[in-house]
Amino acid sequence: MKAVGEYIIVKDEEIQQTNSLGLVVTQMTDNNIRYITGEVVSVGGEVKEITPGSHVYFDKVAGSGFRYEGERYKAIRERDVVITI
Amino acid sequence: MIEKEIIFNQDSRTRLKKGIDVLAEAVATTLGASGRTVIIEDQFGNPHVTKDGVTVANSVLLSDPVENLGVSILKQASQKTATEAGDGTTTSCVLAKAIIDACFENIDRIDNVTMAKQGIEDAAKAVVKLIERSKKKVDIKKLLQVASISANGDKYIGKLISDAYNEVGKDGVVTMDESTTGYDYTEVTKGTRLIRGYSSPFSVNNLRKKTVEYQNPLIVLSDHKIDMHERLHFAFEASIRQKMPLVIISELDDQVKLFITQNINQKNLTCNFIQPEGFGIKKFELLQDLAMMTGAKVISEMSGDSHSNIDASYLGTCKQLTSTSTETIMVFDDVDKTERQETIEWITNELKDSKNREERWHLEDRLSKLAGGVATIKVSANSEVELKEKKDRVDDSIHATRAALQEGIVAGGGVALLNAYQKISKAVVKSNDPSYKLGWSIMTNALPQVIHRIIENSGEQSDAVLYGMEGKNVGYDVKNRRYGNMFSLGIIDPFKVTKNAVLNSASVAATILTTSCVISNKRIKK
Repeated sequence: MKAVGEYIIVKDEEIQQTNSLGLVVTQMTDNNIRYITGEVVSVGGEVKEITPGSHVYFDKVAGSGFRYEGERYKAIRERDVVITI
Repeated sequence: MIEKEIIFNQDSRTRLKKGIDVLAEAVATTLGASGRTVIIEDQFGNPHVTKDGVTVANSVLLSDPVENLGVSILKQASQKTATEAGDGTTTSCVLAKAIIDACFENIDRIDNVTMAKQGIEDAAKAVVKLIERSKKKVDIKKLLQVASISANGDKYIGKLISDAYNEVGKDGVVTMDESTTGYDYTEVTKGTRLIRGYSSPFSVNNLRKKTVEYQNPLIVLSDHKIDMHERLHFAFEASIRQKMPLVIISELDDQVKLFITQNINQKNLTCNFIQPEGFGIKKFELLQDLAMMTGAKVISEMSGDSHSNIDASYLGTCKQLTSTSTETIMVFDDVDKTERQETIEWITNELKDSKNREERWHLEDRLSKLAGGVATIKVSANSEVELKEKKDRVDDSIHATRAALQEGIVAGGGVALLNAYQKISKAVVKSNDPSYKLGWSIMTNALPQVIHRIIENSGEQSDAVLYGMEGKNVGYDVKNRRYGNMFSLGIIDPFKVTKNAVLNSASVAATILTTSCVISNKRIKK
């Protein structure tokens, strides 16, 4: 699987985070949070800053999902990404 | 889908009635002071002897599906009476059976079933109004009588309960618990009760009783909906640091609830959240009262509280908190007396002037929460089985006594119903519709059945006994075999019990009357 042009393929990952008190915070219990995380699987030729294998925060309403070999992925553009880790 | 068996009209009614007859007969034998006992075989084959209508009703299960539906319908009516008023299962059953019997006898004469149903329901309401006129208020002196009667004539339990109410006053709360010392005694604590239970069953920590029980919890009060869990950060922090359970009395957004439940499940938090009572300004006042007693500050939008200026000083506490699914009882060690006393005085004065019924109700509610205490009757017994039975009995009588205190008492032994019958049979029916009239008379004619049954249970001829009975509230004491004023003989029922018995039995009968088709699941014989 190789992304085309400006597309970035990310895999949604629900990561459980704990806050300073050790309480579990998940996407379900956080409102007003716009950016969610995912692992970059593949990037197209026109993508400059993002490399496969890195983790990014991207706009949760951006892009669309698809299924490949049973796994769910999401295709987004570089401008939807805010940070890489 | 399971295959269904469908039956119509006469056939369906006859079979439903068969079930109703079986249950009503089984339960009716226990009616009255001279009622008989019933022996029930439990699942292990041991005999269980009881005189309690609810227990008898609960153990009846028939193999014929339609007959069993009849049983279930009657059971529901009687259980509804029992949960609302704490007693009256048997009376409901006897009344419902009498009405249904009359309905089936006259089914060919009823042209318009809906009108007949209306007649039954209107008559039931009229009867309740009549009985309400004859009710008397319960004062502390009569309490012992009422409590003993509610405990099926057990003077000892009656005294325990009346003593408990004497301690906490009419507005107080009486509960029950197991004794650890081997003696029965009453423990009185200053406390208050909310008519709201836990919102999430995940908070339950006493699985046997399905309750949330905390010692010295931290309490958060808020009058507006908390929409982000960060807003409660200070409370979570205090609870985790001090290793104390947390109680949140506030409206919560779904996501906040989810957050809390998730963390309870992960064992990160010990927390119970409860909806506040009331709406608008009343909610605020009730929360203020709670704040005064717990030492908490109400987080309020009105005072400009925001995320940033709230700290641990907003938290309150109490000595003990117990939440069931329907109510929460908080027990306090010591409360700031002067402020509370001032509020009590203010409310008492306000009550004198207030004419508005709604307003008065709210003030009385507040007063009972502030002034009342919580008495816990500690019950002891020699064996586990005896303890369970005794606890059930004490619990029932507490409920019945509370019902009597709330709504007063009427003559017992079926006399209140008989008096209502004598009056209402002289009254003119408002409608000219023959079906309506028939429904009305079916309902009213069922009323004397209760006293008939009570007398027959004692082994005497009811007609002969009733012949010698005249006058208001005059009845027959089946135990000592003499006539007299039921109030002075101490044979009384809580008004709430009689009221609910009449209304619920009428409702069941009306439902059965309007039924002409029963669809039941086919049973596969193995």
